[in-house]
Amino acid sequence: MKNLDDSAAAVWFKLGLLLISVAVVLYTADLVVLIFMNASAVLLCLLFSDLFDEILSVILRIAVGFPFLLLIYIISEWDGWGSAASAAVRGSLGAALFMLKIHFVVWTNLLFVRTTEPRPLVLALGKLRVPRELCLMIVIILRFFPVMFEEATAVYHAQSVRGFEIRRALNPGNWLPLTVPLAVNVMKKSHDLAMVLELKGVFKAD
Amino acid sequence: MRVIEVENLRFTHAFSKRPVLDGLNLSAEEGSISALIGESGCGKTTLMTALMGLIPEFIKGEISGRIRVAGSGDPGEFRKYIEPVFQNPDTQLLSIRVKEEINSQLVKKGFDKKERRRRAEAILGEYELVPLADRKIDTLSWGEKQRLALACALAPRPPILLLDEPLSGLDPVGKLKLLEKLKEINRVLGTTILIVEHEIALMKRFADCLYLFRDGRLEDATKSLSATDAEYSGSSFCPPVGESLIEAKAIRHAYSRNIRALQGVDASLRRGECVAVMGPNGSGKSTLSKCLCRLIKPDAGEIKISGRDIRRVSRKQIARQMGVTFQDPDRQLFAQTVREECLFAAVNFGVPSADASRTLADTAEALKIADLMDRSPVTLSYGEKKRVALAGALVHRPHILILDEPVAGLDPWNSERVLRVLEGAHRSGLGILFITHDASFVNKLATRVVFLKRGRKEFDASARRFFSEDWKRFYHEES
Repeated sequence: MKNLDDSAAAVWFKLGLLLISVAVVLYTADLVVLIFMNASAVLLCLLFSDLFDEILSVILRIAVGFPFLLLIYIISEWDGWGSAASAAVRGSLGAALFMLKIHFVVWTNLLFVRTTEPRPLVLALGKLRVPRELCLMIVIILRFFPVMFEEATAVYHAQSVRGFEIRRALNPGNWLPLTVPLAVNVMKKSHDLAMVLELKGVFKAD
Repeated sequence: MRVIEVENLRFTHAFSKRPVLDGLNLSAEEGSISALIGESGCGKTTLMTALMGLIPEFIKGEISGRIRVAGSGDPGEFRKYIEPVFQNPDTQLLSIRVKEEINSQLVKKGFDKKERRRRAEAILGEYELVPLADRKIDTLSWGEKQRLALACALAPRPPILLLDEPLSGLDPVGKLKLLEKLKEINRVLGTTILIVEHEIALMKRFADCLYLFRDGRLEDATKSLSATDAEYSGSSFCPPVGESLIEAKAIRHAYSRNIRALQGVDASLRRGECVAVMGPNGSGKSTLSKCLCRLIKPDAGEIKISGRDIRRVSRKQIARQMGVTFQDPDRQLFAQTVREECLFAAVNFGVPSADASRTLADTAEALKIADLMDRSPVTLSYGEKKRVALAGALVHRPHILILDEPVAGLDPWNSERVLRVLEGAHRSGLGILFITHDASFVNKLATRVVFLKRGRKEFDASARRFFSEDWKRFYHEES
């Protein structure tokens, strides 16, 4: 997949495949179809890229929420009259369908983002008549995502050496030590960015 | 010919009452190098934006006075003559890859495809960027990004180059290299260079004219400022070295397969020692300090803090014994008032508030932040923020201080204050470990110097021995 990166056609193909398959997965309620789609997504990843471990670790992190999801589905299926066992079966099925959908969407999107270079993506979008400003915004988001992540880590580090504990963050009232510095820095960065864009004459009224 | 003329410039931000620039005068001859000395956040950024013609359209406020750039008085024209290089190169590098960034800069100038390719190749060669041409910008080191930012700014051959603290974040040899490059550009292309910095010693040698930023005004200081170079003077006081505080053996840490930050480093800190960790950019200094505070888990190796294995105790218990500050104080200031900010650690660690307040009062007095206590930290200047962060790290009376660049970005007066406080802390028997590029600061404070390079220890001995050797050779590539 990597050697196809430079051509816009490859990007279109991937983008189209992604959109269609995600649409199919989101609208279907058939367990067999879902399993088939998931299996092919995983197979695609194993065949064409070395991202399997990376994507799997993301999926596992999301899977932590599965027991809660299951609980919610079972409770919502049980109306208080029918048998608890049949509610549990129906609830588990619903939760499994939902989880498979989530799994597919996360998996394919990560695969797409990680195997697509931003530049061909933007060129492809430009050919689809997406406005230049929007394309630029996409590039900037992709460019600054690692920067923002680094920033957030640094804030967390700076507070935890002063005794801030992450378990206290369960209470939203204790978010301020993390959110305030982050918000201030992000705003400052975006201000500087706006200044640079202005200087480069990007948003010229022409 | 005078290319920059600023007369009696006054500017007040739309949201504040106090003028940032208050009757500022500046003039620069064509082909000259002028240096403006001032601490981060003293109004120099505002001056830069004014020179780029962004005031008052982009940054709102009240402006009076006269600015002429290359004989033109129309702010919209300024950016044709001036190219800026910002303090943080991430701000201005917007493309994903190095080549694209240079290309976009040339597109702006309206060259055709063939011409662009020719020029891009010339630029890559000239700024030693050839091996980086296909790299992603977010994987470059700070120094590399800065070189790229400079190359891009000079790609359209501007008559005036404006640099905002280009030396911050560079190691001593990197600084000299950059200044030489700028000198060469100035000589070959005749570019007028305006540089904002706080390192007086280097600027004194480099610039033709030196101005000092004071209260929104510029004073001509070409003759008056004195600069001293680093000769070992020795820490005035060496307390007896006591028990071991930090004991680290063979630490290894890799961020990814290609980025190995630490490759088996030993480190130790004893009570009463003051250890300076030096090294070129990307040598693993910050990673080491983060491993010692248990912020990063090293891949291999053993760290003991006060005799206890770091893996057996919680991060909070480690933090309880340590005062830590990082390079950028903006990443930690959040509270409503400076007092609350400084006491944050003490509250978290359950230090009795009377004790904490007393400690804070003493530190604040020494750092000259006592009268800022009720202000909001966000409104402070950079130097004040940096001192507030230091006061916040000392408030719970730690045994160990770990400081990442405690004086970077501070003007000489503020770094003197920080020095006094650290000397006091050292005298009272704390173990201090600090990371810095500033040799003269090491000179005044450190008892021992550890020099890291590419994740390995190159030197570890007393500061006296470090300065008696030709220490600059450690920074050079070959050794």
